[in-house]
Amino acid sequence: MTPVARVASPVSRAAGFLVLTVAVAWLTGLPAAGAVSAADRHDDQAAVALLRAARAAAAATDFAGVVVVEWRSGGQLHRERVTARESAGVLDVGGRRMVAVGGRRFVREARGFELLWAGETGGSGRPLPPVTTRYRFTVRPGMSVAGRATTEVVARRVHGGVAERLAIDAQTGLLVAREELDAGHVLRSVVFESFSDPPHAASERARPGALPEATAGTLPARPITRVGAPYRAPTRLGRDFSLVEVYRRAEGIQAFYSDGLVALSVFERSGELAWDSLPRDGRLVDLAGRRAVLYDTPGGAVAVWEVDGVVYTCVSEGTASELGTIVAAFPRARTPSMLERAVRFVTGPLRWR
Amino acid sequence: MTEDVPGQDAISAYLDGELDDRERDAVAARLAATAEWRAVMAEVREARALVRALPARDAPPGLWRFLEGTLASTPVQPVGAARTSAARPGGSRARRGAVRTVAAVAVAAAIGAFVLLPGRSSTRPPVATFVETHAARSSVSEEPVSQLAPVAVPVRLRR
Repeated sequence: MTPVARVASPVSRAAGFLVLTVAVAWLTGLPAAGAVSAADRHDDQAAVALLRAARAAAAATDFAGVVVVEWRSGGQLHRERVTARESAGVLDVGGRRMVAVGGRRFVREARGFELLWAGETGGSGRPLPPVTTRYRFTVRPGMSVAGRATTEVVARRVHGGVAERLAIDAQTGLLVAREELDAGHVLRSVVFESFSDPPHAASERARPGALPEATAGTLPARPITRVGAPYRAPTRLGRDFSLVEVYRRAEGIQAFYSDGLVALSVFERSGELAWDSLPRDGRLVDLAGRRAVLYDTPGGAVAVWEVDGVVYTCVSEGTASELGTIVAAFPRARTPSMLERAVRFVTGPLRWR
Repeated sequence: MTEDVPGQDAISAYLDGELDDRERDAVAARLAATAEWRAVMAEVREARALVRALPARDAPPGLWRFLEGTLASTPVQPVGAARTSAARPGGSRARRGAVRTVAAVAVAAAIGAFVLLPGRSSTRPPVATFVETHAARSSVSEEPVSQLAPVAVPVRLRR
């Protein structure tokens, strides 16, 4: 028998090299380390363009529909429906519960419309951070939403799993579905259940409804460039959220942060937190060593805590698990000295701190 | 006749449960028999409620450091040394003077902080309004429907 030399063909050599490359990449964790392929970059750019176009379309396209809002709270998934209609530049959500006109935002209360936002942004603030710093995107044909063809944009955290799934209406460019996920589970979602054709919505232009007028006494937020004591506005919260702008409010300040896709606000007020005045739906937790009350609301996760005479309320569109790193960026309570502790003990009956 | 004068101390001790059986019975008998005693007890109760309802007050910034610094700068001598210095003319007097000074400063600072300075106010953060306000701000720079729809649902936090 003549021994047969085992000579690898060029094809098998290439396959072996590919297997070796994948194996080395898998073992060294290159994908997790954020290596960005040309295809990834292409999807990132396409996703950024789609999201930007969706914001513009929302201001320029007439539509009418019903939106299903879901959110997880207390281990249960809750669901509500609200109407949404854009007509002649007026966005009406929830049967005129929330109304947007240009940069102004109104909320209807029992005594009338209150001006929630006067449209002042960007004058003194920083631009939103690039969305591709924290997320990688995949763009692909999506499922039908309210009977309409969509393009799906999946946002995956660079250091984690899928953060959001978004559906863009192929015809109008409007965002028709948005799901926020936490560890694979839907945390909050906004999905159009029905969506009228633009021509039908345009026919309603003749009756957009009276524009709201704010009731007297509502003081809109005012952008500020310097934050005075006792308030603080760190330029970064955790490793992902950057300070965009700070606003002076009637009582305290509001610091607005973003990671490019998800935003949060930290409201600060001077004073001692009246714990018994807080809504009862929250749960008492320890966040980064601070005693805090957490709420899961349709609008986001909320944490309330107090440190040395400043009451902080963080409203985050992100996950409740992220709140710990956010809270940690703010000061801890200082440790009282021995003399202070002694005096507090003596003056305890008078509740002098 | 002094027994007919309502005794605030006795009533206060009675309310605190600090009297023995005989004293408690005596005060109870007075309260049952005399409207004036009952009126005084009502005043004592009201005063206590007012004190307990006082807002917590923060010491003024730097008070603790000032008091600690004052105490630290006051020469404190061990007992043996104090006896020795007491033998020196004026030593004990100087020590007593320093203690009086520290005590006076502490009392004056405490009274000043408690009486003159404004107390820390109680803050009730409007959680629901903050959620709406954040959504309003976010909807200006982000896609508006997905921001405003969640805060338009008919769900309210329970008070």
